[in-house]
Amino acid sequence: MNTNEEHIIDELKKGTTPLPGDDYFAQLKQSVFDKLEPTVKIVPLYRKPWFLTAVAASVAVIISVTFLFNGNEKPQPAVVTVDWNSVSRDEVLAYIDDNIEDFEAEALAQQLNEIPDWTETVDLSTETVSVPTTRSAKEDKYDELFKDVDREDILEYLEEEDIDLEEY
Amino acid sequence: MQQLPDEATIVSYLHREDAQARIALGWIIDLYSKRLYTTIRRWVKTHEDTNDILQEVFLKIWKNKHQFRGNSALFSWIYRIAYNEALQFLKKEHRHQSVDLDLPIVEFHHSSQHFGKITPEEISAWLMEAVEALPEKQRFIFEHKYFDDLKYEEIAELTGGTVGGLKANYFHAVKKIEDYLKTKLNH
Repeated sequence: MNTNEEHIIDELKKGTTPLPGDDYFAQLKQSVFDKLEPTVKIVPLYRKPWFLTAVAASVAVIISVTFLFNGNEKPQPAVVTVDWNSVSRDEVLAYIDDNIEDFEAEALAQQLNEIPDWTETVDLSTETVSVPTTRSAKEDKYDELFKDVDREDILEYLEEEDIDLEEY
Repeated sequence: MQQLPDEATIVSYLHREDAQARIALGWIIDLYSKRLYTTIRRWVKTHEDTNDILQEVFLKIWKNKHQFRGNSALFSWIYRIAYNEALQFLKKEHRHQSVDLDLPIVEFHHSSQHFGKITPEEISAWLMEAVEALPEKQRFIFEHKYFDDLKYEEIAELTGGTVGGLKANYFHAVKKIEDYLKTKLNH
């Protein structure tokens, strides 16, 4: 084929490019905006000025609470060993003197003689004191004798007879 | 119709970091979406593909808004983005724009000696090949003068060039296209 046309382009008839309606372009605009990232500039949390302050405050609160709870912690129930050897004889005597009415003369004398051997285990959590459970026959006899005797009568007797407990 | 601001205002708003930038993008879409649609549709043929590319073009404008320094007219910059997006799409789809055009862009007049000998699809494909081979500025001017029937003054508003310069570029473009078409017709 041979062509000598000066202006081929003038022999062409242009077609029309189909154009959608205005609804399409409105929808297009909305679709584009839906795909945009937020306009708010995203600053990493650790770069925010208040972040370090908040972290410091949080750490302070955690430390305070930790110490607070540790300080108020209830004492754990514990078995406390009381070394009765650390209690002097004079202290024991002073205590007995103040509470003499609660003791029997011979029993007191016996117990006082045994003080050096008093090493007992005291359970403070239950506020009970373990005492030797081994009782002699002599002690049982005293219990039997004094079973029906009033404590006041015994003390009165001791006073009338001028019996000094120190002798025991 | 809504009165849209001038290009300088649009660009100044577009460069902001607040909600005003979105407003500027809205103005750009309102101003140029129809023109871009017809241009892209000529390149990629189907509405669906045109729609995908067009959305991507506006997203690219948004993403790269600070790269526009005002060295050229705003629409020239947008047109370049659109053209690159369309080319990238055609490469990805492994097809050339000259292939399988179902909507002929042009056909010969009845008075032409080529009428009935060269199909509208063939001459449309050759024409687009010739347009694609043009330098960017000539391609831009040819497309808007020839296909969109814009006046030189209107093209000057889009490109920022002078009317004289546009005319010179258009005639250069036409000459190159005709040379290409003659070569095709003579084989």
